[in-house]
Amino acid sequence: MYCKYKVVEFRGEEWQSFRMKILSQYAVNKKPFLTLERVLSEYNPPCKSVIIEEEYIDKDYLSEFKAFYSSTFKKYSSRCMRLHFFNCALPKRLNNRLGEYKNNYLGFCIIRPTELQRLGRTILKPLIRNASEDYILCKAEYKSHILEYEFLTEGIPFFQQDTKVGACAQAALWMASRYMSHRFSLSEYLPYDITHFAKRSISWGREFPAEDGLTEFQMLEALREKGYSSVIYSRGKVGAITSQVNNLTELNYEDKANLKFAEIIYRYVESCLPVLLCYDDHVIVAMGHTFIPNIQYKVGIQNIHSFIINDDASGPFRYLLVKKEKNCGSIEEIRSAIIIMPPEVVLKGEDAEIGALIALNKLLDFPGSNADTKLKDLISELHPDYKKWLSNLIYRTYLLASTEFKARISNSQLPKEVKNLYIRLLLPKYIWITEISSNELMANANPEQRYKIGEIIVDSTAASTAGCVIAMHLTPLLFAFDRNNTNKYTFKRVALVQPYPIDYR
Amino acid sequence: MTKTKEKKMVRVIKSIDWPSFWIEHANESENKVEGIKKVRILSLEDSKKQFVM
Repeated sequence: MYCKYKVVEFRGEEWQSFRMKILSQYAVNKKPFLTLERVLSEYNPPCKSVIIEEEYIDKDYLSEFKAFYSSTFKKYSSRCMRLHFFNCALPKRLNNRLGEYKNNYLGFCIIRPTELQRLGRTILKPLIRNASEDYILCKAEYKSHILEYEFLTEGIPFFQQDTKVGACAQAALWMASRYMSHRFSLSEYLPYDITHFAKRSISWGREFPAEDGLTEFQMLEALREKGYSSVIYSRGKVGAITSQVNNLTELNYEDKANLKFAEIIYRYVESCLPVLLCYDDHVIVAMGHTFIPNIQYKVGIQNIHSFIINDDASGPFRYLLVKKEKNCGSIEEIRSAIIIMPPEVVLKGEDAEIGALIALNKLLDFPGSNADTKLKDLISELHPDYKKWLSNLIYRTYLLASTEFKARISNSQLPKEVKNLYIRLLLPKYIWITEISSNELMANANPEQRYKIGEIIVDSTAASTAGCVIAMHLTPLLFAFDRNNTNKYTFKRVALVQPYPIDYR
Repeated sequence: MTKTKEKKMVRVIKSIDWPSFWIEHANESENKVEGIKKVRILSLEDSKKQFVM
């Protein structure tokens, strides 16, 4: 009849007996729950208190209950348990001071009243193990309530498959789509919807129980049915893609193909878009990456050491290396990547970068006043530092909402002329941005001391890479182009010629 | 001296024929992307394996 809450000390005696009770009823794979406990200890400061909320009505579990558990001979409850995590000690009795602990809230998880794979909807604050290396980008705001208090978590969703209404593919789709629905206002999936939509036109057998999982085609179909825009990249077929990686003569064909595959994934992750990574028999979700700079690197992707992933089989905030090391998992085992994009975006990441770089190189190689000189030589003569930077350029391409772009540049250290022009530019809802930097300017371990010397803004709605550039800035030059009239453009000379800090999200 | 160099740079930029620049850009872009399109076909065989976990 009344809400039931109990405060326990995390890792205390009561917690130990509570977790033993949960784990003793927890069949098949307990690893995600154990990882969750470890993650809670890794926060800084770590989790200290848990509020156990009983009789919680969870919409995701209700969807599973309706699809499967309500019709079994064994009786299952329709109610769950919800655990709220705090990084401070809480008073034993919940009182009217709970609102004071809003900043100590780490997130929550649902424990299903079933015996298989019990960890349901979980929302956690990003776990940053190393502030200068870890970038968790796919985070959105989620609300939860205890008594009359609302708690906001800027977090990432995690979900363990229950094996009956969904397997790993459904869990991965749930994590990616729950985030997309909060971040990009797209429609929300419940677990039943995913399996139902995936199997509506290509069933390959019964709908439930769904332990046989989904194929890539079914996953794409589930996304399409719900109005999501998705793209698939097959690992074995990225070898021929145009990329700066092709210039790394020290690498063999397989290593280049692996790096190019990572580069494709990275552009979307850097755009705050989740990427479903498909093994032969499993699916995980990439939600962030690590960045470990090295002055020796010649291509931007070489700085990306690993992707930060949510794996329904092993838990949240795991790492997947770009290059295989000993027995650690790497993207070398991934055979395809499914990207979910905002529906307004037409141009893919690699095409946007190709369009930007062709324009940049054409401009820098434009003949100077005599046959031997190029525009880049004239720039280097005027600004000698540019000579070394222009010979070692590296790039970072990502998608951004134009409103966010304008909001961010108004607070950035961009030169004044550039800011003024960008803020007045008429832009599509989303733009691709290719930042121009050099390995030397990016090599600092401190993220605040990594710099760029320009950026190219690309129209994300462009039908092709042909003429897709909206604006191009390479200090001291600034151009804006009219997409409807190739004769019309603005050129400005930027007075303040110095690199400016990379603006991380 | 710097002013002369600057003037030279600006003169070069002003000499760019942008319609031709973008036509060449389009041709180069299509060549680069064509290579990608050819290799991005996913066969049904690629996707027959079920995901189970």
